[in-house]
Amino acid sequence: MAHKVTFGQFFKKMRGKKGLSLRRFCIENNLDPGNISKMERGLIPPPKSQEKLEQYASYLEVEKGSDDWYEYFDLAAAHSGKIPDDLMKDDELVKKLPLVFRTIRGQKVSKEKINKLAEVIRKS
Amino acid sequence: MGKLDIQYLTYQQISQRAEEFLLTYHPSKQLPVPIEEIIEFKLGVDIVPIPNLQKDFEIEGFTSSDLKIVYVDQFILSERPARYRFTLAHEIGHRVLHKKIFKEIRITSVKSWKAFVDLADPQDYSALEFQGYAFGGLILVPPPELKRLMEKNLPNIKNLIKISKSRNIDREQYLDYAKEKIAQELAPIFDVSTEVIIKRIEYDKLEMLIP
Repeated sequence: MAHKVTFGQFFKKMRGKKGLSLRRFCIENNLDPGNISKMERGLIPPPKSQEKLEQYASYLEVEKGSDDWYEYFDLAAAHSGKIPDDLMKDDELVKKLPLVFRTIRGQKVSKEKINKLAEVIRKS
Repeated sequence: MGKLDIQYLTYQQISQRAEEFLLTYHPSKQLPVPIEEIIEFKLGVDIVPIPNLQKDFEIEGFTSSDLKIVYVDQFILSERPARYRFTLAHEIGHRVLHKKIFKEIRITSVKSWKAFVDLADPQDYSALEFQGYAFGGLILVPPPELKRLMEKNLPNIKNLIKISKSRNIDREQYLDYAKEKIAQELAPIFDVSTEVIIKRIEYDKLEMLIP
């Protein structure tokens, strides 16, 4: 049966249920916010090890044996074998590029840095 | 690339939009305004940290052109909570005030984006940034709460003013210090920097409450 949500979307939903913002969740559990954000957006897979998955589930306060618990592990299993696109394609990247941004000193970003910024966004 | 179709908004107009935003997304008005939770869970916008965004590009944050992501410097997210909150509030200002502009600019390729950025008018950028900045300050430090808490804290600077006056120090000379003292009291309540409080006091012309 095809799942309607991905592991990452479910993870974020559970975090939201607890009212835990990305920052608070990561600080409280000593996690890297960049990696958690990528996992929630499906850019990196859920942890492979059962132990790590259980640890994350405990951070989200998913009750062992509950429906959420089973859905959490089902979605993690469903994700295994899928290879996330590690690089965003150009049509996706275009949607993520900023239209308004200003440097701290109010100066324009150089052409060289503009190229670099697009690549950083592609990988984020 | 032509000029952007920017609507020049007065501070009062931006204040009105900020008030409407808070009524919709944070009607309890409890402080500090939970901007991160509003963005993630009420607006459904992802927050994406980027390592070294500030160090390498001198950029603290930005909004994706599809308005679905707020990117923010990872160090600011982890280590500078007040700045992080302001960056988020500022970016939401773009989403609320400039949605139409974002939708009208049709960037179809990375190449056309680079041309757009290269040819964008700095004055247009400044106008959009000012509006985002003003909106950010207004949602994190709402006017009624600022006025109420400032009035409540005025007795704390009573002694400073009394001493200044007894020494014939002009109001203009102690005013900055008085604002700083009040900002130090109020900044933790709103969870913003003292600079944001001082700017908000000035924009709302609340200096006149200081005798």
